[in-house]
Order: sequence, then C-alpha cells, then structure tokens
Amino acid sequence: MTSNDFPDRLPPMLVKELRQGMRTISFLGVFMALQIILCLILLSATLGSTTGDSIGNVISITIFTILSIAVLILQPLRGINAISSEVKSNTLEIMSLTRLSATRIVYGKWVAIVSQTALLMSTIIPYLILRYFFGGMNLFGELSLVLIIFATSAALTAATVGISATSSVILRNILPILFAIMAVIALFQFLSFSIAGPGMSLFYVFDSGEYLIPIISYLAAITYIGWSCLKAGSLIIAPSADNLSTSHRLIVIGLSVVALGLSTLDQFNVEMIPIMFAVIMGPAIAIALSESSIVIAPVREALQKKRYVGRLGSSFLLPGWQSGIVFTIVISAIALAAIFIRPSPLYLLDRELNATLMIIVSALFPAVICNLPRNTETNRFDKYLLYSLATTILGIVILALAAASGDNIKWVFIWNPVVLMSEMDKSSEAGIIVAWIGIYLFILFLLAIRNAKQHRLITEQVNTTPEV
Amino acid sequence: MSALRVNNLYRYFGQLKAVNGVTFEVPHGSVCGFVGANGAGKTTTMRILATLDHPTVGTAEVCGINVLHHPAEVRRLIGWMPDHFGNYDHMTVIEYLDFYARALGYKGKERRERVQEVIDFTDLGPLTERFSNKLSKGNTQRLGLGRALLHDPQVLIMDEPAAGLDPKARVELKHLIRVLAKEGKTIFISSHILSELGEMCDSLLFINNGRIVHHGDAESLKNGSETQGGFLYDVQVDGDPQALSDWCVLQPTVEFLESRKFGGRIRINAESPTQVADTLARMIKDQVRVTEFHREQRNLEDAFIDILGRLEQGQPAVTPPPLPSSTTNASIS
Repeated sequence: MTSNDFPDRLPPMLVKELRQGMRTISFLGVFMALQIILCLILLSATLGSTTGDSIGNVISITIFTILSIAVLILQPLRGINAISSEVKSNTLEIMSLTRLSATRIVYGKWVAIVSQTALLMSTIIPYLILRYFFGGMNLFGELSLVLIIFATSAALTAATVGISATSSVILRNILPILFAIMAVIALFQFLSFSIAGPGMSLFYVFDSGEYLIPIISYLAAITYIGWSCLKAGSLIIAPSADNLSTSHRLIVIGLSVVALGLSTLDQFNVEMIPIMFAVIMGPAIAIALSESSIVIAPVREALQKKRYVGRLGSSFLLPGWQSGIVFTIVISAIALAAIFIRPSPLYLLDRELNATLMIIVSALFPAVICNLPRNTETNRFDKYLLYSLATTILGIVILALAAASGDNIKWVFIWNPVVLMSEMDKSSEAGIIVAWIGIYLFILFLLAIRNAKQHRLITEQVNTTPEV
Repeated sequence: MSALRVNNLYRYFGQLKAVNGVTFEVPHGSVCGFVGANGAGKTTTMRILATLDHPTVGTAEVCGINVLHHPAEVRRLIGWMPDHFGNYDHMTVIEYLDFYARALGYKGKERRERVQEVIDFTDLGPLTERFSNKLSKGNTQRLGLGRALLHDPQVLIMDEPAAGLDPKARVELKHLIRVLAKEGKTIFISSHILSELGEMCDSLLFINNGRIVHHGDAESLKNGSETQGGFLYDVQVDGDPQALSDWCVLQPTVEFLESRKFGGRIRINAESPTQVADTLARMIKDQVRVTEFHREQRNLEDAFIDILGRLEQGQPAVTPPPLPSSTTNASIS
C-alpha cells in the first residue's frame, strides 16, 4: 500500500482507520467466517432440493441471525478500544495538534467501523438473491430489516466508540459483557418469535403502515443516542480551548422544543411523552453534568461578549458541569411543560408526570456523587455511567431484600432513584419526587459554589506568591 | 520578538503546584535545554507551550502568539515531540507520515513531496514499507521527529527525545538536531542527559519544584563561574606540591582547594581572563615551577546538583530579570 491508495477528498481519519482496520484479524476473520457459513447454509439447502415457504423462511432467519451476530455484536465491539488505544499510546495528543478536531477524530473512528459493517452487509446481498429461488420471500420486508440492523449496528458502534474515550477500564470491560447478555437475550427472542411464533410474518411487519411510526421513532431514538455517545467521546478528548458544549446544548434544547411541539398534538400518545424525553434528556444531562469544571478565559469571553443575551445564555450554554445544572433545569422545564400543556386534566396524567419527574431525579443523583470530589477538572462521563449503573444495581438489590424481609428497609434507601420509583408506583405523589429533585439540585449548586470559591483561593494564592 | 516567551506561569492540579511562577524567554533560532528532575514541571510547561494544557495563571507565547487565545495558530508554528508515543498497528512508516500530512491539510503532490522530504531528512528511506510499530526505538524517534517536522514548524518542542536510546541512536538524533538548529529553527528540548544538552544548547534552563532556578549558557556552568563565584584551575608543578599551597596562602585572590599528586586544585577569584593571566604570571615570577595550568571543566550534572544545593542552603539562584507583568487567568467559573 502506498500513500496514493486513498483520494484526498476522504477524511484523514477514515483513511487511517480503513488502512489499519482492513488488515486486522477481527475484520478479516468476521468477513471470512460470514462468507463460509452463508455458503454452507445455501449449499446444504440446495442439496436438500426442497423449495417452498418453509425452507425459504429457515434460510432467511439463519442468514439474519448470523448477520446480526456479526454486525450487532462483533462489529460494535471493535469500537471499544478505538479512542482509548490512542490515548494510551499518546497519539491522540499528537493528532490534536494537527487540523483534526476532537469531533473529526471520533467521527472518523466511527465512520471507519460503520463503513466496514456496510461492506460486510453488502456481501449478504448475493445470498439473499439466491435465497429468492427458495420461495416465500418478502423483498421489501427483508431489505427493511437489513436497514434496521445496519442502523442499530451504527448506533451501537457509536456507543462503543464514544465510551472508548473514557479512561475507565471497568466500564470498557463491563460493556462487552452487557453486549453479550443483551445479544443472547435478543437472539432467543428473535428465534422464538420467528420460528415458534409468527415466522416470516416478521418481515411483513415492515410492509404495514401500522408499524411505520414506531420504526421511525426507533430509528430517530437510536440516531440521537448514537450522536450523543459520539458527542460525549468528543467532549472527553477535546482540549479545553475547544468549546463543544454550547452547540450540543443548543441542539438538545432545540430537540426538546420540537418534542414539546409534538406533545401538543392530539394524535400523539401521551404515554410516549416520558419515553421521548427520557431519550432526549438522559444522555444530555449525563454529558452536561459530568463535564470538566475548567472554562478557559477565551471560551468564556467569546460567549459573554454578546452583551445581555450572551451573559444569559452563558449561564446554561458555557462548558462545564456548573452551567450544566442550569441547562438541566431548562430542559427539565421543557419536559414538564409537555405534560402540563396537554388538554387532558392533570389528574389523568399522574403516571406521565411521575415518570418524567423520575427521569429527572434519576439523572441528577449520579451527578451529585460525580461532583462531590474537590477536583473536578477532568471529564467524568465514565464515572457518571458507573455511578448510574451502581445505583441501579443497588436499588434492585434493596428492592429484592425489601420484598424478602418487609418494607422498612426501603425508607433508609429512599434517596436511591430506583427505590424511590418503586414507592411512587403506589402513592402517585409527585411532591415527594419534586422534593428529591430540589434536594439534589441544591447540593449541586452548593458544590458549584465550593468549586468557584476553591478557584478564587488558588488565584489569590498565585497572585500573592512573590516572583522567583 | 522571542520564539518562546513564558511569563509568570502557574499550573495547579488541585493542590499540586506543577508549575509555580515560571518566567523565561527563548530567542529565535536558538537551542534551549530544559533541565529538571522528574516532576519538576518540565513536561507541564512544555505541554502548555504546545497548547496541550492550559495555565492556571500566566501567559505563554510562541512567536508572539498567545497559546491560550490562539491555539490553532500556535499549532501551525510548533512541532511537538513527546517523551513517549506509540505507533500504530498495521500501518507502515510511509502510511504513518502520509496520515499526518493529510491531517495537517496537505494534498496531492505537495503531500507526497512533504512526506518524501521528511523521509530523506530522517533517513527513513529503507524503512518506508516497514510497519511503524515494529521499528527500533531509535528509528521510532526518527519517525517522531519526521512527523513533527512535516509542516516545517518554526519551533520544535522536544520532551526527552533521547530517553531510552542507545549511544548510536543518540548521536544520530543529536546530529539531526544540530542540522535543524543550523537551519534556524528554535529548539526547546528537555533531557536527563545533561552532557548532551551542554553540547547542543545555546542556553540551559534549570527547573526545580516548578520554578526556574537557573538560566544561562552551558559554558559558564561548566567553568563554574556562575556557581562557584570564581574560576577553578588544576595546577601541576615541578618539585614539591607544597610550594603551590604555600604560595596560595599569600595570595588574597587565590584559594587552595585540595592537593593532588603533582600540584593542586585552586580557585582564582577573578572577574576576567586578564586577571587570571596576571595571577599565572605572578605565580611564575614567584618561582612556582608550573608544568600544567588548565581550567577545570565541571560536568553539568555537578553544576545542577550544586545549584540545587545552594537553593537548599537558602542562597539565591541565578535568574533572568522578570518580564513586565500581564497575566491572563485560565479561570474556573
């Protein structure tokens, strides 16, 4: 391979990743294994010499099962060390001194793996064409499923690439385990649904207009979550001179306003409001409240020089977890507004209101633990995720213990959002959740004030130190 | 205008004061060595200059451009070579350089020419098709230097480039640095091997506990004039060495430090070489039969230890005059 193998118009990161990626055993191994297995399946089906719907179904299901393992598990897992390996070998900093921004580095890594996934997927098309001769094929349905698998793979890859920017080895090791568990569950669900269940009617799902909106919603949700993960990765590796937070927060606020607009439509299912805002707010709050506390003067001045609007905006658009608190309040207010502006009486929306409040309290709690240490100069997105995971596990354990021994133990752990959520199912009292949200916000504000005081002390100390 | 200008620079990591009020300037086209123990603040200062970190307080400028306010412009002016960097798996030397040339914005013919120039300069020609992670340490450093030179930077910041190199690779690296210095590039280099820095550098900056404790040229340090308050000489005489010590006792400006087999080690408290010549003339006139008289060249390690010792005793360190103060805070809101 020479330096002329890729045209200039391709992004440098993509060129680099493709050069490296195409030579790795993980890609070549998956590629070769997929081809061999698919060849064997078609060969054995041909030798069986039976045609008809049933054999066609079995071939389709087998092809999709094998393809799913390759592109929904193995390919996304290739992203798990994508950025951490660069950090470890000290090459990320060298790259950041070129014209490559943090965003371009992260997207380059992601695009490279996704393009290899696309290459893998394109190789199954001949097998699908051959499979046509066995009968019972739903062309549109099967192609739709291919596209959905590809989109899901791209989103999962975005998640692994984004998380690979974190320094947490634990998180990067937990993720493959979670992937494997989810994959096994999904595989069993898929097989039981497609073989023991409605069989090939699975593919007709995509033909019917009834499922169009859920599918579009699903694609929109995974696109947003994938984008958020890539944004989180970019924020972790970006130098403090690069302000990626303001644009991120503006986009999230814009999306929240669009979601608010959708919520006012009569046709919009009210039960979907908390789910929609959980998808929008969850990643956004996690990213905002785990950002580094460092805001260098040029970044702050750039935003604040726009007079009153700039000053007002900087209270929630400036990088750093401190302004992230105000940002959280802003998007939470939009989410709650979506419930309150519904034409139905509020007592009919209890469940939705409680669910939305629970999303807010669940997002705030890990942020409080995250920002307890005095030094919050580094990005703590990995810690936020770990604390969220630990909180959930602890909550489940407490609930299990409470179920075994009586209810008393729950009240000791009521600060845990999972435990709190279990109580709200019964009482439906939003006031308690609002009180916890208030407590967590108050603690976060206190921590932000402590942080500011600490910085002032350091600056004063520096200014009073005699020059050497 | 200086190539590098650091003024009252502080960098705190929580309570840790990594850089604690550093001020210095490096003129254009000079080679400046940056010396200090591990954790003294060398790498932090260099990283701030390379726009990879930000100061808590203070300013750092490269060719008059503030690193905090205009990092992108500064990056175009500097070549950064960290103390340790890994190479990529499954990527050849030419692909490695080609990637960075692309990342720096070079296209087509210009990109290929830049890569070729760098390969020629670093003599990596025979290794272009070899995987970059399979190179020896010496060749890896050459590749790193080549990568840092791709955009023809005015200033080269090198953090411990000779660490871990064998003697041959070290000599080769030193040669490349000399060539670059001749081309007029400003080189700011840190190393633990002080003798090598002494040979290469026009000036040396000593840093200790985040503070600059010395800024001067290597020759004066080796000769001891700046650290001992006089000139050190090794004198050999024909006959009884006692004659030399007896003579020294009678001289107000000469101090006999220790006796040696054929003479002794003396300090001449003189302000100029002329006064030293006068002292020698007096010695000969007074019948001290001098057979050898040469200036003692101390190694830089001794000079560095000596400076640290003086600081521990509370004596002032040699520092350049402070720059006019104008600080910018990198503040946490």
